[in-house]
Amino acid sequence: MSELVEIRNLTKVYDKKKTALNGLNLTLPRGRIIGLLGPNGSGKTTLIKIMNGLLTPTEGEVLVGGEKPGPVTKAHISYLPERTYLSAGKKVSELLAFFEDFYEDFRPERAREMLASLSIDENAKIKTLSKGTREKVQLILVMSRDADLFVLDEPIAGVDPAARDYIIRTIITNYNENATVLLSTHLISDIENILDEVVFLKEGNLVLQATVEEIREQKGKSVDAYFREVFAC
Amino acid sequence: MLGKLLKHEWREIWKIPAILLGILLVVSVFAGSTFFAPVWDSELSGLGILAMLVWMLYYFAIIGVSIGVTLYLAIHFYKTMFTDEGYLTHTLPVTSHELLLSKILPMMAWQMLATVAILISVAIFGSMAILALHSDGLTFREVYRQIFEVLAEEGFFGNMSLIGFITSMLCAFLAGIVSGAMMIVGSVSIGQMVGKHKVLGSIGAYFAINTVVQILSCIVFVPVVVFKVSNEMPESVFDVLTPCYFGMSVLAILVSVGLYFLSEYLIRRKLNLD
Repeated sequence: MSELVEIRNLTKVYDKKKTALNGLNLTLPRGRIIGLLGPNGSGKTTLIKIMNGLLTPTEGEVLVGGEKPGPVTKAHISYLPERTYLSAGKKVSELLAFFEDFYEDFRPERAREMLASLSIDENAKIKTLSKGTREKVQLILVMSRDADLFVLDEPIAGVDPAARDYIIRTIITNYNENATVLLSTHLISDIENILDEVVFLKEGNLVLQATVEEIREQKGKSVDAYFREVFAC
Repeated sequence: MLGKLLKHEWREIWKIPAILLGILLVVSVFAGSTFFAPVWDSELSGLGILAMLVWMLYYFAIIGVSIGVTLYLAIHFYKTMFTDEGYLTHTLPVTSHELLLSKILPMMAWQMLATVAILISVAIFGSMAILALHSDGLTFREVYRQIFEVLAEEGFFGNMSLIGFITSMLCAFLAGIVSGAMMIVGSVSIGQMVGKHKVLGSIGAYFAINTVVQILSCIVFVPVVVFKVSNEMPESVFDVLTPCYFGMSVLAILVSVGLYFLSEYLIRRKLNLD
């Protein structure tokens, strides 16, 4: 089976009023870097949170490697949320030990290498680090796993261009070819070059799933330009 | 995985409760030492007022530690489960049972330690008072030996009613530790179901559960007391209180088990992190 993620009739309604996902059907293959693209409020984060078991769907289901979100899928998904989840009182070294304890696929030597390359002190407490450095520590922890699926929610939003380059480089260097990276963003031009596929979401519905090559060949446009056309206000 | 979860949980929470309990013990020694000062014989009336203020401080320290430890554990549970930190907690490859137990067991341990620390501090304070006011030249050991002798003379250790009563008190204490932790976990978990006002929901749930438990207690105890008194006149008050405390323990454990399974269900099937 080459499909890693299967999403069937997935619906999420918040407070019985706002529909974030509307009967979404989608499959994600293995070994690809996939851009999950859409304007604000299109349902990207909701979809990602359901995949990680942080939200309960109203209807439908998500299967990762044939399993519903749970301890088994969590052992194989490396997730970078859009917010900082690190406990402020912990040291970076304690977080390395924490990840090493819980994730069998965590590679501490890789994490240490990346921390050193960014001159981040392992003995520093998270609360003493700047917001940008905290985000980098979180990215390093997430990308130091040999996971089957990396789910990165807005990894380059709100960071300076140099950090953006570092993040993109980290993603390309650290994932293996059997793994899939699902990357949500609306800063398409920055990541377009590393994407294999894109998924366009609009108001909780699937608008398009295609390879980057297909878009370029069939539409004669870059993904960024096509995105602007599809989601023109 | 439960062992690893417990290890990290304990490392994260031990400092604040330990500091609070340390402060309580220091305050109890400080308050007890006022008995050695010539407070009442002194011509300075301010000394007496000062001593009373220190005793009040001790009294508030006991209440503060008791509430402080519970509040700290409740906030820590809420923070690590349902705020930004929950994004890491709930993406760990562990079951919801393991996750809950890793929170509940250290909570129980700290509530028990807090209770023991309060008892020790009262023993320190009381012993210092006895030593200073009534027993010239006695040591702590002698004071306790004398207390045990008096209790033995009064038939304390052979009194089955009293032993039964103390056993029931002990059961109620242990059940209280369990239900104290489960009340926190249960009410915070239920509070997460309340739209945007989750903290308010948790506080509301806490008082609602408490009210239900109080009502259930009355439903259980009133018939027990009435039955005991109407059938035969009890020999001592312990004969009435003992079944009440046992009943209270059973009720607390039943409520705790109910809250555990409800919390586990809500976390496993109804989790919705903002």
